Amino acid sequence: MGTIRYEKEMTCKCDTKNLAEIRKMIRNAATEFFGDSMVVGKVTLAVDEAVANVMEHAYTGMAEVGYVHVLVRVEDLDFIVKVIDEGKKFDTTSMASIDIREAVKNGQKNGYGIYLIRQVMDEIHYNYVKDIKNELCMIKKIENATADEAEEVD
Amino acid sequence: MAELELDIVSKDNGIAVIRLEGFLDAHTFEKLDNVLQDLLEEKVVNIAVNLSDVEYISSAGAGVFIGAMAQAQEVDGNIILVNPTANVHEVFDLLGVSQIFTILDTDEAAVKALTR
Repeated sequence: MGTIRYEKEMTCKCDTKNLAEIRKMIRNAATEFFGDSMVVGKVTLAVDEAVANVMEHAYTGMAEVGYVHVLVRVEDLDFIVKVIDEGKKFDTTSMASIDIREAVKNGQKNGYGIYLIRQVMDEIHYNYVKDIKNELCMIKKIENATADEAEEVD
Repeated sequence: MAELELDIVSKDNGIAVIRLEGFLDAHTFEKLDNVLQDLLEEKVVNIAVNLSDVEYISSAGAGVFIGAMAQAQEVDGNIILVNPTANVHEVFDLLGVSQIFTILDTDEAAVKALTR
């Protein structure tokens, strides 16, 4: 285990009105490590997509609306975000890739979330604790992010 | 700032100009979707959407534009996006939305382009 340089977490009810507050937490954390680069917006977007997915689907058909827990941690040069829910088992990472050009051309209105997460984050891992929780772990490498940004500027 | 403010600035000769302010995410996208669907049902199929005051958009928001564009094009209409902020433009780029949308700098330029 590396050195933990930053850690914050938030738990909220699965109501999409809470997305703005979660984005604020992620944006603040990302700004500390990625400065004012476009990476901040991209990482915030990826997390927003993952959390929205949980809010909209994880507890469908269940008696009560559940909670989503978001943890952001910077460990060495890894910017790590974990999105945890106690809803139905669902492995986001197992979703098939979409043909983005065809989807957009055909007017597909949704199903872009996992595509964006894959585009933005360097690693995505799914972990399921039987009968307890789904955990989606997304990692953005801080070195990579800086290098990517430098290339874009060049 | 409110979550999403939406104002139909003008609606003349089958061309509408809409101005948005706030954020377009999984919580607010339906408000825009409803307005666009209403316009399309009224046969207003040429629409300019000013995004200069939209601070954030997620795939839910972009999906509204993508779906509405397909509907508009089916009846020879068009949707033009006006002056998106850098953050919003970045999401459009990630999704490749620019392949189907014209993006212009001003409402006037958009209306001119929509007037045929």
